[in-house]
Amino acid sequence: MQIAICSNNHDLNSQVDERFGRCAYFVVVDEMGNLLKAVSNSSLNSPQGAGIAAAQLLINNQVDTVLTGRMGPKAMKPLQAAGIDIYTGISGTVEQTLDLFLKGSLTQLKTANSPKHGGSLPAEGRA
Amino acid sequence: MENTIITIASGKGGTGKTTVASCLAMSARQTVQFLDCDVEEPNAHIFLKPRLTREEAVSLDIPHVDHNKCSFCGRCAEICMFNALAVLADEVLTFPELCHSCGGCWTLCPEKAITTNRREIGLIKSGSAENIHFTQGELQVGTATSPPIIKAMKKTIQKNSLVIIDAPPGTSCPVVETMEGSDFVLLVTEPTAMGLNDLAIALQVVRVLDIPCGVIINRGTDVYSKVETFCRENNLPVLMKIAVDRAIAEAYAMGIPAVEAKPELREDFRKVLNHIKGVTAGERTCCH
Ligand code: SF4
Ligand code: SF4
Repeated sequence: MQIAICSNNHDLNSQVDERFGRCAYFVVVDEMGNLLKAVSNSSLNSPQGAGIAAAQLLINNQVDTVLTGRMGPKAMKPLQAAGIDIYTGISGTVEQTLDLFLKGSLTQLKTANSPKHGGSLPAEGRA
Repeated sequence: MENTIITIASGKGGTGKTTVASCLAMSARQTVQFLDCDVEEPNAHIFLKPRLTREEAVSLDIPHVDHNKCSFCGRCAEICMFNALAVLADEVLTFPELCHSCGGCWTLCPEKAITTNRREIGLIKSGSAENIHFTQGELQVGTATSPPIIKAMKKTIQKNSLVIIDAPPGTSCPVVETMEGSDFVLLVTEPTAMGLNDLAIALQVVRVLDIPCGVIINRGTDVYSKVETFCRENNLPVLMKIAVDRAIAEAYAMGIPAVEAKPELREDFRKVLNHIKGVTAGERTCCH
């Protein structure tokens, strides 16, 4: 099983990052805790649709499960359509998060828990 | 006489940009075409009170994937800069609200599996109020792209007229789209540190586009003079200062433009218009 964990760096001791589309890396591990690879999130700075691009990246990398903090509806759609399981509630390091997942402490996400725009761009002032 | 297109802009919302644009239009002694390009929140109609009689939909081409032809190669999602497509093993998902209609996906699809559908992104409404031909754009909620509506509105500009365009606030793509092709940009600012900051950013955009510009200082007091110093240092003419005035503020709150609350202001706005016409006429003689 390939489990992708949203993180700000590329190894097992890296801190996790709750933002799905805007995390720097997806650290991919198996259920034995082996580091399989770290996929750098190339769409991190997309002005729009970062979550969709990140989902595409994970689909292309054939992961089975994603562990994250927050996910919007647009990112969720392709992941669900591809049959990838999504869990929320990550914290600490990649390794600690994998433990939480294996103990069954993470919650499976069936509907988005983040608003439409997870974007990091500041809102424009309005008249 | 040629067109004179004046865009009223400000680095940020809330400076009185729309009031100034409305007052200019109402003060002109000729027919004016007024375009409210603040398509996310058009509000010039509150002041100008036009009778809107026409409505036209603006739509964009969006991709439609024929799953019988598609090989799920992933090219389309790869080239889409706007992340509007996702390719799965046996399905292509499209996110029309993110599509900017660049045409990349249907041009490059190796299987010619993508055709186009139309997606309505907004409306252009028009009508008139006295000497003003009024047009406003309204972006459909949830749509990411306002430039196509702004483009469509600018196509309605008629020859030989004075055109006043109320730009969206800020300095992003829609603002640039609005300013492009203008003869003059009028920047409305407030005499505060924040106002100065936003003015400086807006000025950079105008200078890149290489359009003559000037400033109107709204709600001016003599306390904060840095905006004027900035204008002097940057060779930016201050065309008018609208003093803090209770009567104007109260009228504003009721949707009454300043020139109705204080008719003597019309003369000042006319001077601004004349100045701008002089500048644009001068540009034409020296550059063309
Ligand atoms: S580029 Fe064409 S063939 Fe390839 S996945 Fe997209 S629609 Fe299908
Ligand atoms: S037309 Fe352009 S923006 Fe729209 S989906 Fe195709 S590639 Fe993306």
